Amino acid sequence: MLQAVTAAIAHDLNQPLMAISASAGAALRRLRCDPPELDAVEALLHDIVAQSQRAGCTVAAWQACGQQGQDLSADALHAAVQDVLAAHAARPPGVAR
Amino acid sequence: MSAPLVYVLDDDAAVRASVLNLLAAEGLEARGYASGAAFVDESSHDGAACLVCDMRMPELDGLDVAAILARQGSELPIIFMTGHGTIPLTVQAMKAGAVEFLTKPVAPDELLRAVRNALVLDAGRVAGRRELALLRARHASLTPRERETMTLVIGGLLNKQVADALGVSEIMAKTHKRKVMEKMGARSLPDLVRYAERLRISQARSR
Repeated sequence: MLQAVTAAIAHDLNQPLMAISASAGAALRRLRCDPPELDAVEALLHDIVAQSQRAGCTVAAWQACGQQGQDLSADALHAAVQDVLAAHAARPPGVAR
Repeated sequence: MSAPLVYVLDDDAAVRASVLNLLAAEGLEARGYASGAAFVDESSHDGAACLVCDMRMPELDGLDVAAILARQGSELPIIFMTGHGTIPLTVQAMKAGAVEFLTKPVAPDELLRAVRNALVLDAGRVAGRRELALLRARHASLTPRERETMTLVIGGLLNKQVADALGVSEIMAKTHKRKVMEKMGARSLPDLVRYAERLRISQARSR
């Protein structure tokens, strides 16, 4: 069971981390342009903020589950995380610029 | 020839948008898809391309998409991304024809390196497919008599032997041979033999 839980945690946390990593890579490239494309960089930094919040919400949802001594199955954890994320309505970044 | 194109298939809107932003910042043309079905229905490109694909998706997952592409005879290089890579999953992905298997979060440079390698690989395949299509068109323009001559000539037969096999004069055999070389765009006999191999035409008999 622990394996399934860690797999669910890995998946839910790696999604926002992947978005943060790719957005940061894009921002670095926009900064290196001559002249730097600051509007694009600003938008990408907003995306990074949103995805950091999403990751934080995911962690908070697990902690809430743990503290309440609730069902700790992978499915229950995943459902709890999805509930919290939906409530928070983590803003997805805009379309490709 | 159209510019190289990167397909991005991930059901997570944030991941998809961020990867598209990264590719755009690198000056690469890219298109995003939220589901395997949407990708399979809409994607078509005549230049070099590659697919960056999430493994875990509802309905069609990454391996399903790879299986569909394989059934269609597509050679599109696939870069798989996964949130939790296990060894059995990696083996499955490689068997499904993946050129890369990357674990999220993938470093931007790592993803771009994989994409560039995949596009170079596909550009080679596109060139190969174009050459084959050209050879097929040239071969289709040969008359039945010229086609017969071609199968004899690639076996290394002398003009006299070709003439005997065709039941014509040696002068006539030479004329057929010259027309075959011209129409196939072959400058030498080794050229013609190489083209025949690509077209999987076997020699009628050898000397």
